[in-house]
Amino acid sequence: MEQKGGWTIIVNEYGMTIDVLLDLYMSLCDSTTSKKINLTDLGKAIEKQLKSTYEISYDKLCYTTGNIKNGLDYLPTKKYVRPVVKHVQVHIKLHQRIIYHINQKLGNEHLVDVRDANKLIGLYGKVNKIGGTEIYLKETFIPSIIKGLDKNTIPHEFGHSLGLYHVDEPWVWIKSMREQWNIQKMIKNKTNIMYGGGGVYLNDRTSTTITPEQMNIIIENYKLGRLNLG
Amino acid sequence: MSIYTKPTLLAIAVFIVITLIYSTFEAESDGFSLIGFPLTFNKYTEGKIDPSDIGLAHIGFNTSNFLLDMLVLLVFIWGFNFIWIKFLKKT
Repeated sequence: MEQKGGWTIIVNEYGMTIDVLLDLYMSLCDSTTSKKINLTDLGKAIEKQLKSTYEISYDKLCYTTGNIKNGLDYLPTKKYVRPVVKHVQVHIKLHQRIIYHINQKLGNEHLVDVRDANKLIGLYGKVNKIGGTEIYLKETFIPSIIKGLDKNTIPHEFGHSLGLYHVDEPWVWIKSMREQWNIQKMIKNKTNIMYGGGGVYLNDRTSTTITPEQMNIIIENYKLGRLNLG
Repeated sequence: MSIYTKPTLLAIAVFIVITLIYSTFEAESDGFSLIGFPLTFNKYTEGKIDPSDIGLAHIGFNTSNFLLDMLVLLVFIWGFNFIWIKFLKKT
């Protein structure tokens, strides 16, 4: 697949193991007027939080096909489908660089842009679109992200960049049926990153996990060209 | 001035299309969705809201902007009916 943006997802299968590598090229920019943000520390915090959230392992039910060849018993060759549980291990690799103006962003990179509080009034941060390449963060919340007090905003916004929707919004099923969660599923996954702003389970410190199903959706989004959308 | 059904429906349709074109839908990616033409009458987000400047964000339904938009719609309806009577009905 042609690399249009920062995310590349490589899936390798070795026997009963599936290795998933989420590879991201990104640039960090401080667009605030004060220019006081320590982008090196922010970059480290982003890497730490993304690894903590997205580097998961789980078992996945797969189906393998094969042939039973005819032998001396003269039975015809038959095809079979066998369910197999494979172990999925996800890794994340970030390639970061610091830029001084958003114009320096290369075409195939994601941008993490720290903005003045008055440019993101009322918000923590946002992504330009679902599957988009530009993540805007509000200056005010950067210290708590760097200190590790807010472990949700970064994985959450990168989740949107990976094509994930809020799991608790009423109209999500129109765009992604599997991401519309019922109450039972929410109770089971209280620490999920993809709760919307009004979510009862949303917590800056504890909402830090994703489910295997969401990881499968991310891989599917990449294969279907729903990531790196500019 | 008499009001005719065809130009009125056409004016409403054009107004809805312009409203949709002028609206932004960024709520799903934590931005704001802004609906309304020429003034935004509904602003909402699905993202985390900063409590410190929630008052400045003017989130929610704005009744005065909605009424002003409806006034613009009435102007649209009057304009379409005027064109209909003046130019099209005769032909």
